[in-house]
Amino acid sequence: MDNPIIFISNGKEVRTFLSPAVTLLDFIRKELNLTGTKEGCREGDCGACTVLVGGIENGGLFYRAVNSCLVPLGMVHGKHLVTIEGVNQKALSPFQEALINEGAIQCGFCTPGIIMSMTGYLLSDRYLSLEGAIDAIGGNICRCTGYEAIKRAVYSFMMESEISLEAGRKRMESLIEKGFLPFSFMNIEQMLKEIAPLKTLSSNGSPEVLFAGGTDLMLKMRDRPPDIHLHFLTEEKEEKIIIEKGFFVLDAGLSVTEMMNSELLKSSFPEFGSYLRLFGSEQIRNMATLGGNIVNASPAADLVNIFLALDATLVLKNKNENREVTLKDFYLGYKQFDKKGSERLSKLRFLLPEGNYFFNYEKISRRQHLDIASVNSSIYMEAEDGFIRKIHISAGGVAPFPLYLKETAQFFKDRQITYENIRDGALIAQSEISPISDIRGSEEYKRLLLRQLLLAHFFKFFPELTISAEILFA
Amino acid sequence: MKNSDLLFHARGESKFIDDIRIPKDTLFGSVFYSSIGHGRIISLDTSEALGSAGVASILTSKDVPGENQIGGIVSDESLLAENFVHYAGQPVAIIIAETSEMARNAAGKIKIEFEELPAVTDPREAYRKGDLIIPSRVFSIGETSLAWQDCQVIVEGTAETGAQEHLYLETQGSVAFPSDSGSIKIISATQAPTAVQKAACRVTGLPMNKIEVEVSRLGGAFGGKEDQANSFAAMAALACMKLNRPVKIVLSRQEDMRITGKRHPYSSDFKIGLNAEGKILAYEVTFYQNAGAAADLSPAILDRTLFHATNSYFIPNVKATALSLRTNLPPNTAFRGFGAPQGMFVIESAIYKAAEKMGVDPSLIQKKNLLSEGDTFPYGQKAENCNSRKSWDELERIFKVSKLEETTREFNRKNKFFKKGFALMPVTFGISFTNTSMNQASALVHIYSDGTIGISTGAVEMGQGVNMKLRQIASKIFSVSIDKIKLETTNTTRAANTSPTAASSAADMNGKALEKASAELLRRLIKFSALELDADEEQEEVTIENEEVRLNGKPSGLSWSELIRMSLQERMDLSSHAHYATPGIYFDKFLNQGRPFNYHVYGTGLVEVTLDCIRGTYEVDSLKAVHDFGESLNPLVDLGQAEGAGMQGLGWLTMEEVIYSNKGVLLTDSLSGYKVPDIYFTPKELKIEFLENANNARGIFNSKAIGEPPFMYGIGVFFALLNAMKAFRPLKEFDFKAPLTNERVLLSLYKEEREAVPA
Repeated sequence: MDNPIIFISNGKEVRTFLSPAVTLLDFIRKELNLTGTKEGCREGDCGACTVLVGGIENGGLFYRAVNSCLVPLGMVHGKHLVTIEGVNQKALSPFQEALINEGAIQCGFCTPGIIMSMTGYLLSDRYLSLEGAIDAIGGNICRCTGYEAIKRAVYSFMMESEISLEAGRKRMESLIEKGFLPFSFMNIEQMLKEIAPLKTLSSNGSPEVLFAGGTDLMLKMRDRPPDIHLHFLTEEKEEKIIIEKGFFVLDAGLSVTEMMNSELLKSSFPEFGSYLRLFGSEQIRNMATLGGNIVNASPAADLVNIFLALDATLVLKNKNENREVTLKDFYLGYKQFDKKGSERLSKLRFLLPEGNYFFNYEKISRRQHLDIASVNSSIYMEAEDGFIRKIHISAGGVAPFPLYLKETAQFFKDRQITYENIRDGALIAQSEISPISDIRGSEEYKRLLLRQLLLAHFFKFFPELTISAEILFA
Repeated sequence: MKNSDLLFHARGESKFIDDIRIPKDTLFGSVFYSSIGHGRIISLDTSEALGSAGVASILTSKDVPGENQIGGIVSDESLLAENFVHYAGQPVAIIIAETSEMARNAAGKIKIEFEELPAVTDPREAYRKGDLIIPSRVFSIGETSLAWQDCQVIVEGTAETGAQEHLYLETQGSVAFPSDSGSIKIISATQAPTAVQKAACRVTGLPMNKIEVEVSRLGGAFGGKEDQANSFAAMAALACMKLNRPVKIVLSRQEDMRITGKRHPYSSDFKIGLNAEGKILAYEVTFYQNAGAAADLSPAILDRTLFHATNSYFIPNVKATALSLRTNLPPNTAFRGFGAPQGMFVIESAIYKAAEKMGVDPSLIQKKNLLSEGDTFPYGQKAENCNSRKSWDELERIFKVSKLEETTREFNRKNKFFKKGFALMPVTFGISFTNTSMNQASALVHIYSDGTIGISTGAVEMGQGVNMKLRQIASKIFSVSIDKIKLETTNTTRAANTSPTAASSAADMNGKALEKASAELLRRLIKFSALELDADEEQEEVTIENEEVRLNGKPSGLSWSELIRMSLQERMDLSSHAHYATPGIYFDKFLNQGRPFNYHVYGTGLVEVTLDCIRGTYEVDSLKAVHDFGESLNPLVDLGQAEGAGMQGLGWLTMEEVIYSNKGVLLTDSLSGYKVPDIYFTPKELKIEFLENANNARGIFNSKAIGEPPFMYGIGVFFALLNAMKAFRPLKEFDFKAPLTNERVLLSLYKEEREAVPA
């Protein structure tokens, strides 16, 4: 390879000719010899390897916490990599201090990751809150389970340290002033501007992988050939979420975090943010993309589940041609879908909700957060005078691919919302699904659970419905 | 007092096994293990793997110069499989290569052929086949067979608890370095340096003085590194000896999950009899312990199950039988509580079922039967300084349990699809290794010429704060600033023949040894000071306070550093070693009677839950407890231990489910499949109260051990959930089968018989 990967590691420029496919965690620990970043699981499920990656976006310096085990080296080209060593100063930061004072550190293995997740949150473009701070470290497992003490530490430093709540440059200045960050953060923006973008190299015949967030791909590429060519899509994002001709149009490169924070989506779906809180962790949400979730084709894919119930259409791009396919027709079998090798998923669009509409998303997993659904289900419904006029229902984890419950929806359409109809509709759903027993649950459980989630949708819309025993235990 | 050891943790500067600096010529080992649960090895072909890039050597059982055996209590576990494999994950070969990636890559090229044999994963099936690890063990007191006739209520049932993956965030690992004169130094992530030393000696054939084992700290252990660190250290030592180069073996998460054993699953049968007032008269129980393929620590764990079979209750007639059964799972091992949680779960289930039959709240039966001062445990020891009832009463008072009953009832009346439940969980846990000979520790104290102090003991720091506690002890005895005191690594050349850091007793025993060694040094320094000050030791009082010598309470002008300088000048020995053996404990392993425990820890927990009856999910509203810490040496450290243990207990009974295929292959072999509590799962209220006026003359400075006992407060979550489930389905009887995952809850609520929903 003739082009080096260049980035700023904790304030110092690093150049390497290693493959862009090398796992960032390995590079940090083995090449940079920075051992504060720990390997706990190598699959983004523990947060011990959390680092920050900062880059210039929309003219400003923007940091996000990521699991370095899920990031390929090439992705940090032109970025600022921050590890625990890069936030350490002579004196402890108020958060480090609080962790010690509250007894929130036991074995210490998860601690650097927690500090990095929290630093990422403080540096984010969000208005700071206690709830947000807990969310920020929701993807960090502490097996000594000092969570209670960690919470105490978070509360105490948040209450006491008077950080500017306002995001942006001002926040960074106040973080430096209060001792959270070293002064060198002030120079980073300029340093990054001086690094030329990484030239997209031709693959030279080696296998090429289109690479977006990488949170699924990195797991699959564990046994990757060293010469694999990663084609990074992250730099190719356009306008992300727009409303156009009565449709929501979402760029496939949107990260889950971006969707979660979208005011536009929130305006039509007030609970959208809380649905996505159940998607992965802060670190995963920062990386994982809409398009990635769709083409990874997990049978329980959360975003797919939501957009199936919005009857979304996908736009596939092949050079200059666009082809459209509805999401419900996109999946053909387990991990199989209607996309040719040269096509690239570029957009997803769906109709703006209308009239008296309801939307709900349900997800049940072994653990509520950072877990794969046993079963998930979404519903979109327009109703008038007690009759269902339009309805889309999805079900995940109950078939080889994310399922659109076509017959169930058909049954409900134009029917009155009654106990009997709900019961009968739920029964039809049973004939559409084909769950298998696995570690996410037995077939029996998944069947029962889907039925319960369908009921839950209706209970949520119509809490005044008194449910008869007949429905519940049918 | 805050734990200043944590400064380095907070900066990510503490070195764990994978972080230590290694020489450039270090080789890396990867373990090749069985993919099947049971089979005969037909052929093993390592030729292609040997030719793989960077591979230096591949070692199999044939390359073991010493004994291919690592079994501690029973010699039934080979380091590397020979003709048969007995569990999926059993090590077969070690690949040594230039990098860990190269070693793992080569492992994939080893070809092995098996004749697959039937695998047993169920302990009851192993029992039917007569596959016991050791002969059955029975503890009894009174005569149950005669007591049943006096009982008004008798219930029988079955209770089951699942395995639990330790999931210490730092995986198993060791680095072995060649050192002078054919010796080897091993740095290991182990709770038991001496056990590692012995295992490595056995395998390499080296004498113990040629293998030095060192431990800096562990990134969590929870019992998982008490016995199971041995094999990886022995492998590294073996490869180091063969290749005369440093060798590092650190497992990946998946390797660790697949290869190592977990908390023992148990299946148990119980029979309990009570009189009309709810007094328990008789209890019979049979424990079927799923030991896995080798003994490991199972016999010792089995014994602790028996010791705690009656938890905090006095029962006059008890017969408890325990069977350790060999199955085709990885050898199960120590995990916080060491068999006690499994035993306590069964008596709590029995009480719950009896309460169901009697139509009363289980807490009435629990409370009625709590231990009182002087009550005899089934193993003959009497409850002393017994805080069982006191902690229960305090919990009821502090957390207003009677009001909670009211608000819970009210909530359940108002809400149709959400139900609340709570349960109390008393805990009594004995402190000492039940194998009496293991209750010993040592300490070596050096005072350096600048007045700073270095301490070595057998205790391993793994997050439980033992180093801090030991520093506090020395600081208190010498009356010098804690900043002058350093805890050295745990090293077999400075602390020989150590017991593992386990059984919650490391701070107790090593603290006592340290107290002895320090007191001896202090005695010398005081004597010397008296001479220097021309004081008559018989008549006048010489003390050291805040780094200054005092005569009759008044400053003498002689400072600590000056005292140290002068005493060295006078050629005084400023090093001291002491050994501590817990006094007054004994146990007859044939009669199963004695006084095995130095003392007991008491406490009572309370867990509240809210159940979503439509979705079958739940939230833990609170975990509360009144706990007997004695006079805590370090309340902040002890609180962290209590909260953390309680959380692990909650995890064990709720979301943590280890799933094997019926052929013994681990299916939950990653963190995406095996879920442990996260910060969201933390109860909205987690409150541990320190029992007031608690003391413990048998502990160091009146303190009590803390590591394990609070784990068992978590058991309350199971019964709190049952109560919430019963509020929704009052007529249903639920199985005593843990973990109570979302799946089990939903299926239990809706399965089979129909029942009218309460209005």
